[in-house]
Amino acid sequence: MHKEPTLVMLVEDNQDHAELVMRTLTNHVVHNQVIHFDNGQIVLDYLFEQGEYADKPCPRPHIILLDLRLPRVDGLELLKIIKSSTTLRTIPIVILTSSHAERDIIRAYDNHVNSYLIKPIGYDEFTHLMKDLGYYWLNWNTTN
Amino acid sequence: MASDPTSIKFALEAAQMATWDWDIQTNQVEWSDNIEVVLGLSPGTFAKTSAAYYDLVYPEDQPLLTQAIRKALRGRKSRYHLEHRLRRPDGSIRWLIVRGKVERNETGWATRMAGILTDITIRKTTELAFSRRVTELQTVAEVSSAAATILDPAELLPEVVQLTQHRFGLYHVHIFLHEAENSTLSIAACGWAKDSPHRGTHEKRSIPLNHKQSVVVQAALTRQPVVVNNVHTHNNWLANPALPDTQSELAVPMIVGETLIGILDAQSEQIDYFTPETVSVYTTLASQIAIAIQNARLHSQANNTLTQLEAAIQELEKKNAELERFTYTVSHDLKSPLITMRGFLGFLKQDAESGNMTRFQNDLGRIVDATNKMQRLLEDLLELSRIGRIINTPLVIPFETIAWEAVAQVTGRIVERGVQVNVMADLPLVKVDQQRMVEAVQNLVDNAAKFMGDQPHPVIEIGTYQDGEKTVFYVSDNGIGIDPRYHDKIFGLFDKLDAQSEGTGVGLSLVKRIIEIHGGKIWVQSDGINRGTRFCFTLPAGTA
Repeated sequence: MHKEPTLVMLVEDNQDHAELVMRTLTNHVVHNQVIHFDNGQIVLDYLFEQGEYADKPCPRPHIILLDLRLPRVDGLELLKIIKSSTTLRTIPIVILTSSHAERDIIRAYDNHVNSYLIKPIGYDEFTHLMKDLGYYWLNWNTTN
Repeated sequence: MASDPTSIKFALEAAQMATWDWDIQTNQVEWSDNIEVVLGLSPGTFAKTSAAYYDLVYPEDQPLLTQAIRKALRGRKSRYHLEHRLRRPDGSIRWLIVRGKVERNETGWATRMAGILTDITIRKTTELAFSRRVTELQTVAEVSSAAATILDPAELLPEVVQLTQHRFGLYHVHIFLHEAENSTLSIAACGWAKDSPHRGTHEKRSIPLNHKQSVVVQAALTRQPVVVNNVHTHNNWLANPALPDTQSELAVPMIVGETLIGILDAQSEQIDYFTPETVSVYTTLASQIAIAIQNARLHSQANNTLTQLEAAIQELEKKNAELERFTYTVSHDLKSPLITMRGFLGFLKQDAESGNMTRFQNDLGRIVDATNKMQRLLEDLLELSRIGRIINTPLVIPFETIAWEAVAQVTGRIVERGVQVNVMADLPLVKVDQQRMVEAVQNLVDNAAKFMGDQPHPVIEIGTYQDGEKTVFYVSDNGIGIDPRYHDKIFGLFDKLDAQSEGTGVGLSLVKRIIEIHGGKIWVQSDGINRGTRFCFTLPAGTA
């Protein structure tokens, strides 16, 4: 269990969904901080400390919640890039998407995703998922 | 008995042989009494001199005779042997075989030649007919083998014509094909006339079937071979100015089952060239060619059908992949607002319970936006599904009309952003569904106006440029531009480069679809961020 606040990176282009995730996640899980990005390119800039993040502090996230359909660099591409990087590949990545398409699921696991979650329709279900996700990945799961 | 002159004479007459005895020193020739009978001349018409004999020899064979005699006189052999032709005063040709012995004096000079001569016309004719028959059969075999191996009629027919013309020593060969739909016979292959500058080109490429004077048409109508053994004595024979030396002609119908495929037409420089035996050979040849043409046609038909099927399958596969992409995107993008609505409804309940009215208003706003978004998505999808087919009949109109109509539709945004719009004058005619094309251009202009960024002098230009033969239409702007990395992505359904920008992300896929159903292509050019954007596309040319 982490003593210091856990840093969650949320990559989500839909502002409403981002709000949904952030509110339900903080409702149930203490000691965490969420950093939100709405496109894939800026995530790469942050993680590789390049572009507009070249000279800014970029603390390493403990987990990345990743949407699949993103502007510019989409979720799968981003996943591929992160999992190919020797320094970044140990960060757990959880896909959080509305797509239940088989090819998305297969391609995500082919690219070494750590978990694949489908956004449920309905407040109770969504809250439930976020609660479980928080407990599992942010409390029980150990990362380096 | 052998020494009895009367019995020798009897034997000679029975064998249709005559004797000759030439005294070289005096140039006197003695002939047996039956010489005129053997030569087939009327009694008393043969002068019985060596010169008179020489005159009877067929002109082409006279040098042979001279040469043979010279050889006999100068050589050492005592045998003399020659087969040659004779031309009788009535013009008929006979074949003779002449055998004899040479007598020499002590110094080796020939002093006397004597022997017998026999008429061998019957044997010779049979031999010639036989060798001609062999050639004919060989040609039929060659044509059959060509027919079996060459499947393209365009290649097969010239080959058959060449083979037939050269092997048979004909003056000219044509193959006409029957075109039932316009009742004509058209030349499909043609050997060239000897020394003819036409080399097989003929002014008249087809003959209507009502042109009954033509031998070819007669063969087509009667479905029987038609022979003209002497074109000069034939009634109404139709001369071809390109073939001045034709003396006889044969037209044979090429038939498979009940179907008339065409006519094989052969022309000779000899009178009476086409004997009944020859006609039967040509009939065999014609039916071989007919079957070959039929085969080639079936083969090419089967090939065409196969190609069409393959194209249809490919088209279906493409459509299917497109449909899969479409349903995928649609299910994903329609689900998104639903997740928002249901999620925020839960928050709304919490807000009401806790009495936090500010948050209540905010959350309610998000739900309203999501329902609006969903409605827009559904409308756009409906629109996209409609353009799968062209609704309006394509019209030939100047592209300028389309450009200005499109600009008029987005006047609001243009005025609001202070954009200057230039439409090139004299834009070409295009053949398009006007309403759809206006919609496409309108989307491009709207996009251009939308992504001007903080450009102080926004300009949109609509025009064309030439790329070789191709006319390329374009809508360009000096706005924020597009990173080359995303040039392919922008045309995808619901794909947006900026999550916060207005619209559903359907616009460019709509434009792409409209251009594509018109048979055109669309692509984007941009040097990158803040370097402007140029959307280029091609359209079917409108022929006025």
